[in-house]
Amino acid sequence: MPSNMELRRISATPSPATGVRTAPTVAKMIDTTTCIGCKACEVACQEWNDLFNADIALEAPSEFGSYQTMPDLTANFWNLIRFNEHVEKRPDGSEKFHWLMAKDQCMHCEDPGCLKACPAPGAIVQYTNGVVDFQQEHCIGCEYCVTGCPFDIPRLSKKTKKVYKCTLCTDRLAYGLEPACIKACPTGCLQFGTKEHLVQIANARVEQLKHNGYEKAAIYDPPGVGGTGVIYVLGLGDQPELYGLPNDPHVPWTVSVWKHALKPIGSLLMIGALLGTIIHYVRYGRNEAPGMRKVDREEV
Amino acid sequence: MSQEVMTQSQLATLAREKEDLAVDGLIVRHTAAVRLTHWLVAIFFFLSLFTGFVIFTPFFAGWASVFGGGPMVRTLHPWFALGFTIAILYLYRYWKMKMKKEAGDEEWKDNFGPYIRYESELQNVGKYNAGQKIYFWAVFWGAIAFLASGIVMWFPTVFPYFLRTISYWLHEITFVAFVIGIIYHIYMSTTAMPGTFRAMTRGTVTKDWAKWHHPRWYREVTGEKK
Amino acid sequence: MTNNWVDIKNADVILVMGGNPAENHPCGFKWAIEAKKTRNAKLICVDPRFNRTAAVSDQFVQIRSGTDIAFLAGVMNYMLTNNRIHKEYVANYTNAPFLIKEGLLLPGDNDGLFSGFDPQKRAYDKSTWAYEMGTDNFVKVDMTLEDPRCVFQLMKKHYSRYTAEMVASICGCSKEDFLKAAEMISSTYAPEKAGTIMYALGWTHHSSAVQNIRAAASMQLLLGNVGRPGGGVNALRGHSNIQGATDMNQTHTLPGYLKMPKPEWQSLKEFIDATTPKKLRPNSMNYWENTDKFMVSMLKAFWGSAATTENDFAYSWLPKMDRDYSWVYIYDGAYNGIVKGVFSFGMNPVGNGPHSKKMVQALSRLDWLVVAENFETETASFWKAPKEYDPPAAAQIKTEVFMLPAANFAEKDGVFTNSSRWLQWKWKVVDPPGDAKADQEIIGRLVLKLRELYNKEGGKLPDPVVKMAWNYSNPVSPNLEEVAKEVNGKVLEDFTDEKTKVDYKKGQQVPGYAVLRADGKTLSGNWLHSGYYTEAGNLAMRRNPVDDSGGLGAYHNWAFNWPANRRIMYNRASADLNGKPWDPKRPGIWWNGEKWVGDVPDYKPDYKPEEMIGPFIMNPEGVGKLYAVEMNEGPFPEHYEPYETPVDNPLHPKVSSNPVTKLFKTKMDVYGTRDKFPIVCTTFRLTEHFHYWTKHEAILNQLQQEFFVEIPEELAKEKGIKHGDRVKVSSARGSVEGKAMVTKRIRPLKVAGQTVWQIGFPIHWGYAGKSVGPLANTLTPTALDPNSSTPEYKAFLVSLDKA
Repeated sequence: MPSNMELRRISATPSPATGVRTAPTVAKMIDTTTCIGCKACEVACQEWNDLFNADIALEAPSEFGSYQTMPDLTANFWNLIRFNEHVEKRPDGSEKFHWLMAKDQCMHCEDPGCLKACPAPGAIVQYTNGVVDFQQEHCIGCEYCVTGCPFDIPRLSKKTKKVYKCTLCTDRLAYGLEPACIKACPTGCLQFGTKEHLVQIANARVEQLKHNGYEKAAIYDPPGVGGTGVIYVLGLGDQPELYGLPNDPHVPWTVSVWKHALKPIGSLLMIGALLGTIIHYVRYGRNEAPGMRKVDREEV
Repeated sequence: MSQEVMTQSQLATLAREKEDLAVDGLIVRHTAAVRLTHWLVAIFFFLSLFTGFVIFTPFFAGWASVFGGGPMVRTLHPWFALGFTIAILYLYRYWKMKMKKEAGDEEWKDNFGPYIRYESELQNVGKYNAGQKIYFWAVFWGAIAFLASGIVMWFPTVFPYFLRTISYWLHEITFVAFVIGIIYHIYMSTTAMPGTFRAMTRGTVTKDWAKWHHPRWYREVTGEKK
Repeated sequence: MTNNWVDIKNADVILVMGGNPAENHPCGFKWAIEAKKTRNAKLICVDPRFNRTAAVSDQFVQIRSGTDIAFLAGVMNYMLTNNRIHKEYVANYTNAPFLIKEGLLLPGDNDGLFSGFDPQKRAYDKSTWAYEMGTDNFVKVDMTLEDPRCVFQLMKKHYSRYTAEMVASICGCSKEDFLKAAEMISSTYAPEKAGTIMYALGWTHHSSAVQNIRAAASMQLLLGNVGRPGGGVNALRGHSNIQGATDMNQTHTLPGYLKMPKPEWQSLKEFIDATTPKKLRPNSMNYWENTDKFMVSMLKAFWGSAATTENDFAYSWLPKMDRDYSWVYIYDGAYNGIVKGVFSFGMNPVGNGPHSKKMVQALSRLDWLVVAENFETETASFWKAPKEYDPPAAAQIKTEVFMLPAANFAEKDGVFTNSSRWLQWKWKVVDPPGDAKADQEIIGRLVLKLRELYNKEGGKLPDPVVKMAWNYSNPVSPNLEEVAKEVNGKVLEDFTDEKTKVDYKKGQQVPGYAVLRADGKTLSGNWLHSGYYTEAGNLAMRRNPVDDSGGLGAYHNWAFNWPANRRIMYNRASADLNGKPWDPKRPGIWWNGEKWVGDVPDYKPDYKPEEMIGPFIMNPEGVGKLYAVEMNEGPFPEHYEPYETPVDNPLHPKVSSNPVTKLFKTKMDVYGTRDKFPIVCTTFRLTEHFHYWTKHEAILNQLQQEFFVEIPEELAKEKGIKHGDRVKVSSARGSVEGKAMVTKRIRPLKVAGQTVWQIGFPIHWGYAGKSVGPLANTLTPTALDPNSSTPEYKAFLVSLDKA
């Protein structure tokens, strides 16, 4: 953890987080309507994080042939532009073709499902600025976070048996630099700043798009996970799934119930059982066969 | 050598191979193989339990160091559990016939209240009372549930999402049930009922113990009449 | 570019056609996005494929590859018939009022040909195209634009054939899409509006390449968009320094676009007389009148003190071009055994050239080949080309191949000239690995060795090499700053400038090309770059990020912008006749009562507006040309089909393709017909790769892992091809195999009433490097544009099969 960033949340840790200093929530904005799918962000991510040669490309170069670098994210490919061809049926009956490009990576949820699901103390943390980060040295590789994540982001490395994802370049943020993908983006479709500010920019852009034939333009900042640290401007805002984004993501209720109900109830039951034996013993004592000799009792 | 020593030695040999055998004041309850299997079950169960506790709740995170740290816990737990499952299967082989329902079980169940208050004087109780049988089958099916959900959790991304979440729940519920079960299992076989535990160590129990806790079995073994 | 990258942000309308900047110029394309975001500019993309640029465009029109002129002519017809032109600009700043002699026939009246065609020579006698000259030796004009012989009326007539229906029929687009685009593009006819065009190889890689750009220039002139912030015709150059390479010289020009001597110009005087244009209008500045100054200064830079008035400044040592020596002809010459040796520096002809198989054969017939490169390219390893390229058996190849490891751009200092004409100095980042040497060292060693050999052994013509000015402090590896100073120019003898009365001292760096002289007292390697390394230092090193143009993004103190640090060329046209900006919010230059201010004026700063000196000072007309006699296939752009075409030209079936296309005659120069090869194919580039270079680099190979063929969904269905299947694409010259990318991004086209299929594949692969694949140019034809000699890489016929 960079020394000047404090924690808001720590996975599987009963004690409070470390941060008392406040920090504004930071965010990344992805304006898909100005993304040209150049993949500079992919390369910047690979280079900054020293992630040369992602697994899938190496293992199966002939399995894929498209503008999209890979079918999916991997443990050493954290930033993927998804390409999708879509024919929009316009209200006037005409058809409009779209080639949609959207960058896929960790969304840095305000309410991170991965962190909620994680059983390893300190393996997933959320800094006071909202960035969710994996601390691999504490990760046990159980992949609970994979199930906990509504965006299907974390990936287990076969080599290290630990999960990885976008760190939002915490190792750059800590020194006042923007994330590498932002730095590399040539069109400015990626922007970094405080979330408050970026939401304003995104809103203005959405208004402009609405006047330019994108009646359904919208911001993607799903409330189901308390909002995200990565917000999108979507031209076809009513159909985020076209961009590979879930329509209304939540931390899965199964995970919430598991973590917030099953575990405490189960713990109570177990403690109760232990108490039960004590109470029973105190009340009823031993059930000893008549005629047992002392030696019979004590022999093991 | 005295007569007594000779008998003990003979008994130990006998207890290795045969059960339900009365010699002097003792009765052989479990053969060596059954005992060994039970202890294997116990060892793997506790290894799984303690590694499981590390993952179950951060309050036991410290135990991870006993096993070489969190990642080792994650690596070992499924293998311990696999050992547990195999041992359970052996136990099943020994006990599946013995744990069948028989006359007197219903009566025992009806008498459960007096039983835990030590007020039961049922005479039609065989080698295993209904409670023990229920416990055995619960453990058996619980192990199956552990295995099924455990495999999914071992390789979560291979399985569809809904199977994964079902497995987490199932594993969790089974875990709690097992912990409660083991607490009572141990309590009853040691503190609450003295003279029981040696059945799993020496393989023998005293005739007095047998007559008191499993009267019908006692009669069957010794040929005594009521 | 007439303007520059940053200036794109000032546009109201951006037409991207014959280019795909989002794909190939993503960093520059940010300014188009900026215009969209801040000005709500409209981006129109016209392309054979729905590409990355189309993905962020406001209007996309899919056209058949090679039909750009029809589209642009259609837009001009729309503008002319709907009166959506910038009248005042057209009348005063273009040659619209110029009269043309009687006798000119337009293709509409002459079966698709202009008058003067000689079918034997496949060339035009241009005498009927000439301007009508008055008794004063100036062109006659009709400022009312009413005379039927004036350019404007001829133009109206010429383009009237390009109706929306005709455009749709030729291009294969829908009439509605065309009209929508035409309406958007022409919206900048209003004086206060400005629109820009971004184009690249999608226009230049055709057999009507130069006419594509002429059509675009004409359209921009009609809209009054040239010379203005947010306007212009902007060529997006494909390499980081290709603009610099073009400025420095090509086979048909000398540095600074001076013409290459011909055998008939044996003396310097003959050369100057032939290449210095005469004023065509009294109010034309005709800046090329200074050709002699630029030429002599250049010769002085070449041969220094050996260039004297007595020996015509060594003019006789320059080669005289008796024929076309451009790129494809070099290798055709090698194929025919005329060219014996080739130096290939930073160039991979087997990859770049059309018809890869012929290239391999051509190189096999050389005596020697020297390749200076970062990697062992296809060219360096042509002798081990895979069997698909039908190479001769390696044992039979007599070519001696020398591979010189060369430093790459980051391993040496130097200057890059980008599309904006900015000369930007760059600094070495790392030392070259191993034995690799910087280009100047490779050349320096060659020069010294050649001199040594000439001195020892003599030779037919040793002087050009032996007497070359090579006065660098380290002749083995010249310091590039010294070279830069030489390019800029310096004073050789004291003199006083006659006009400005300023004294110049010997040894001083010249402040700009205006002081260059024809008497040998100055030298300058390239007059156009003059001004970048003055007494003030190396201005290409400037990195002042302050925008001194009030938000227009001119950045006059960033690097050096040729010519004369001018950010927008022809900027006199940004103001009206009185010197007031057409759009006060986006002024280029304006008359402040005493002089022209704003950008560096492309004009004499003290010309008064009332003098009415033409704003296009490099043209002898003094105005922009809607009608250009220089072109080889006609003074107006006319739609001709690509040389390999799927249909007869709907305008004139008898003259389908460009009648003066340059072709080759060896037995390998074969051309396909539509019966065997019914599908239109185009080539393109990918953001992920750079030419044939990055396939040597693992991380970029990861981004685009293999060669693929883009196939329309409907065609794939018809052929039973699924996404990911292997397919074979064949032309008359060869075939390539790759993975099918079935896509909605290319649609079937309705051309002249029939369905025409279009497919495409990227270049970037080859048999050398870490990621191997077929060379796209295995399929491309040896048919060249008659003006620029650029091959028609972007439109040819193929057949498609499942492999």
